[in-house]
Amino acid sequence: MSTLAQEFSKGILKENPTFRLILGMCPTLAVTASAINGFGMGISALVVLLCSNILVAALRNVIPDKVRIPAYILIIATFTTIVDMVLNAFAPDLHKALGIFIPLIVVNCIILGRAEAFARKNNVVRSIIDALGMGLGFTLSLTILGIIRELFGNGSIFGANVMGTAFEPMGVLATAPGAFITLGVMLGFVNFMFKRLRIE
Amino acid sequence: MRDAMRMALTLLIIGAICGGLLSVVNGVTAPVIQAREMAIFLEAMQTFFPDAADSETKEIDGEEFYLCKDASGKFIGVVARAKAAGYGGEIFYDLAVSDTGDIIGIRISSHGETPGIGDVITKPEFQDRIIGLNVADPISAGVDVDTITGATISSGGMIESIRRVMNTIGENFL
Repeated sequence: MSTLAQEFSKGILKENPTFRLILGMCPTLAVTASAINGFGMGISALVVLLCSNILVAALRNVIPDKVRIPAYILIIATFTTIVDMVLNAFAPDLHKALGIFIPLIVVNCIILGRAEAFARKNNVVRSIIDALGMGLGFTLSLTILGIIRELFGNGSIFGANVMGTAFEPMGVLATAPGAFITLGVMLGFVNFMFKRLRIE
Repeated sequence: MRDAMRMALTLLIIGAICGGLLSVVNGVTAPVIQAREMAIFLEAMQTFFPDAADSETKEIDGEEFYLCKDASGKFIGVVARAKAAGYGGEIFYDLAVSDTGDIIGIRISSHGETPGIGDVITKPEFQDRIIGLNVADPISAGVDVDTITGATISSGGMIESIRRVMNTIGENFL
């Protein structure tokens, strides 16, 4: 059995949901037009993942196998709705920017995937560590994509102008095609680095 | 049979707990959300009608109309909270109309239009075409208001909706 540290780091590096497992692509492509949106989406998914992992792990001996998927969906949908309501009340700007992609966390395959592949077979502590690692890995990836797209598409990082007035933004990077281009380049880069450094 | 009972019961209990949790959180967040939306709207109303001292709400066809009065109780105009069909879903906006039937202000409160294309509706480029129109004008795309090239659906949907709101205001309040 792997150590807690390995359990944590796998989500960020070896099994990074975005760059290694290629999961949760819908929000990845849709909300990373700016760094703050990518970060906000990542944190929202992290909160839902953490809560659902805790509950699924705690109830793993109670929930009958045959109805486990509906039970997980119920749990995930509840926490997603809570995040949605809390963001709407206390972080309205972020809520507005993320829009429909907050409710869609329900169908994010990272969350159901971790419940099914990890939390239902492990205890609460390990599931918390797993959720933190995976959630941070997702947040990190989305923030990196957001920074790249915002920097070249808009000339700013986290809303602060860094490129100066002479810089002509590449508008395409802030739109949907730019999401695919940036993701593709990043995937290539990450694969190249993993090969180069022989991390496997 | 016992298995089926156990499955149903487990789901029922989880569902009940989830429902309870949601209603608790909603009880905390709903008033905050409502208060904020109202505050933003009231602020917008103040900028449209700085003299407004009092307002009265009327609902027609699911859209709210705020009839504004000044300190002496004289009717000075209407602010409509309306919605239009855009390219990326519904566009929610406020439209301020003076007592003479002129559009004096417009504010988009939420929309899902394409950044850089359809979101022109939030900018002066589009809004300046709307402000100043009168309830007696045809308010028709291509007749007295032009749609924005490249954002025909967003701007056309707005013009369509504004005409409808103006007709309602003209018939009911002026």
